[in-house]
Amino acid sequence: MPSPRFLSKTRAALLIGAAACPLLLALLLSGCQGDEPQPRRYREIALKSKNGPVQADAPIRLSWTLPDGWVDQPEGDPLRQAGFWAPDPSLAHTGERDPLAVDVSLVQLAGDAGGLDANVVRWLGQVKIPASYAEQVIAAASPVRVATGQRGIVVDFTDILSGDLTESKSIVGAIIQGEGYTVFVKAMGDRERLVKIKPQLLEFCAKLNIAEKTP
Amino acid sequence: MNPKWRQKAARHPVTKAVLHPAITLAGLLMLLLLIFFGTLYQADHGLYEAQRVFFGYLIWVAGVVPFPGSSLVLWVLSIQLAVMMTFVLPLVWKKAGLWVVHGGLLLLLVGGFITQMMAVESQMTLAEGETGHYTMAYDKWEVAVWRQIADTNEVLAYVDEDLQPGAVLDLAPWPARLTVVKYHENAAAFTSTVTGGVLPYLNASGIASMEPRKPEKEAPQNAPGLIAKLSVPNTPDREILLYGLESRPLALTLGGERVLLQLRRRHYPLDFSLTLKDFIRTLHPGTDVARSYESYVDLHDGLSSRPVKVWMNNPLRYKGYTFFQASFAIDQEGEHSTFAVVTNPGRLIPYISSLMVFGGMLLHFILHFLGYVRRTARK
Repeated sequence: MPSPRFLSKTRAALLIGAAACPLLLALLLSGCQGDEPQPRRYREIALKSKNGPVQADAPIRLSWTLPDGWVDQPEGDPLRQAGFWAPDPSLAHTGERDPLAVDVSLVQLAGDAGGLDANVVRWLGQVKIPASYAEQVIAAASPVRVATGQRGIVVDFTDILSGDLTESKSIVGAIIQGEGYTVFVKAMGDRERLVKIKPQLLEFCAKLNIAEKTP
Repeated sequence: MNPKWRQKAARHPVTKAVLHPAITLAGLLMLLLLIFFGTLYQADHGLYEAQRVFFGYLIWVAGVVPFPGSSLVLWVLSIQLAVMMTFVLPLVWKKAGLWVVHGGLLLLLVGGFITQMMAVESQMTLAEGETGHYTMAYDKWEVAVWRQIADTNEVLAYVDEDLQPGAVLDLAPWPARLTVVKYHENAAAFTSTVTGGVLPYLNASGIASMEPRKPEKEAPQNAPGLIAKLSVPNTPDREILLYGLESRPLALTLGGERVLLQLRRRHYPLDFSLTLKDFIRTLHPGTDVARSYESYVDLHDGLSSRPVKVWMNNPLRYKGYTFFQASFAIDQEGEHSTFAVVTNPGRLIPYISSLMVFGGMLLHFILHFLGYVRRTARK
C-alpha cells in the first residue's frame, strides 16, 4: 500500500503534468507537419458585377494592322482585347531579341470608363508620377484620328520624370471615346524605347478600325 | 477552506520551482525585450516578418543562440498562473479579489492564444455594383483548382505551406496530381521575349521563366511563383508555371472536364454577401487629402437584405466578421472600395479580462477595507 506522502506527491506531479500538457501540445503542434498535404475543399460564388462584363457591353468591333516588328502577346489579361510587344524598330528585321520591348495593350470598355481625367490619373499612378500632372498632360495631349474616323487624344508621359527616380518606365497612350464606348491603346515600357516606338504607335492608332455595331 | 491536498501540493518542491518568482520576473523581462527588439526589427524587416520571428516559440539570435519567443514566454506565464490558481491561491472569501485578478490575467493570456491560433485577417475589394461572397488573404496563398457550375466554383486548394519541393498534390476527384518542383515565396516572371520565344511551361499568361527574389519587407507585396509537374494518366507529364500576379487562371481538361488552376491569395468563403452600391470619397477643399471615405453596401443573408454604411472607424460587424473601410481605387471599371476583414473569436476577451482585473482589484480593496473597518470597530 503506497504511503499517503507518496500519493500526495504523485497527485501533485500528475496535476502539474496536466497543467504542462498544453505547452507540450503546442510545442508538438508547432513542430509537426503531416506527411501528405491535405487540400481545403469549399464552394464559392464568383464576384458578380451588376453591369456584367464591361468588355461585352462595348458596342464595337476592333481590327488593326501591326507595325513592322510588333508581335502578338499570348492571351493574358482578360480585360485586354489584345496585347503586343513592340521592339526597337531598328531591330525589326535583324531577328534580334529586344529585352526592352514595349508592352502595348488594346482595351475597349463600355461608356466613358470612368472619364478621361480618372484614366489619365490611373496611368500616371502606374509609373509613379503624381496625379497633379494630369491637367498638364491632358493640355499637352495631341489629337489622333483612327481609320474609321473617330477622334481621340494621345497622352505622352515620356518627358515627365517619375516621382520614383528608380522608375524607368513610362507611358504613351491613346484614348478614343465614342458613343457608349472608350478604346485605350496604351504603350508602357522603358522611356527611351517608348520615344523610339512612338511613331509606330501613332501609325497603329491611325490604322485602327473601330466598327460600331448597329443596334 | 483549503483542502489538505492543495496545501500539500503548494508545499511540493515542483510547485515551488514552477512558481519561483525568478521565472515570473524573467518572463516579464523577456516580454519587455521582445517588444523592444521586435519594434526595432519591424523597422527594417516589416510588420509581418517581425510578427513571424518574435511571436514564435524560439528565436535564433545570430543564427545560433536560442532565445524564447513570445509564445513560449506566454505559455510559461500561463502555466504559472494556472498552477498558482490550482494549488496555491487560498480558497477563502478574503482572497476573492485575487482570484478574480488572476482569473482575468489567465483569461487575457488564453485570449491571446485564441487570437494567435484562430484570428484571420483578410480583405474584400468590390467595384461599384459588384457583389462579394468571399474575402482574400493578404499574404497567404493557395494553389486552387476549380470547376465552375453555374455561378458557383467547386474549389480544391492547397495552402502555400504545402508547396515544398517534392510534395505531391492529389487533385482528386480529377485524375491528376501535381508534384512541386520549385516554389518561390517571392519571384519575378518573364515572358518569352526574354527566352527568345521559347515557352517551356504550361502557363496562361505567356510566362516563360521565373527567378526567385528576396522576400519583400511587407509580406503582402510578395508575388510567389510555382513550377510543378502535372501528371495525368496516359499522357506525358508536363511542367506548369503558376505566378501570383497572373490575373487569368490556367485552363486544363482533366478527366474530360474543363478545370481552372491558379496560384492566388487564399480565399475565405462567406455564408452571406455584400454588394457595393456606392463609394464616396470627400476631399478637404483645394487639396488631394481625403476627409472621409464612405461605402454604401447592401448586406444579403439568405432572403434578407439591408443597407449598411461603412466608413472610417465605423466598421460593419456581422456573424463574427468585422469589415473596416480600408482603402479605395479608381480604374477603368470605376470606383472600388477595399474592406479589411477580421474574424477573431477572441475579440471580446481582452475587454472582459481587463474588467475582471479591475473588478478583482476593487473587490480586494473593498474586502480589506471592510476587514479594517470591522477590526477598528471591535477595538
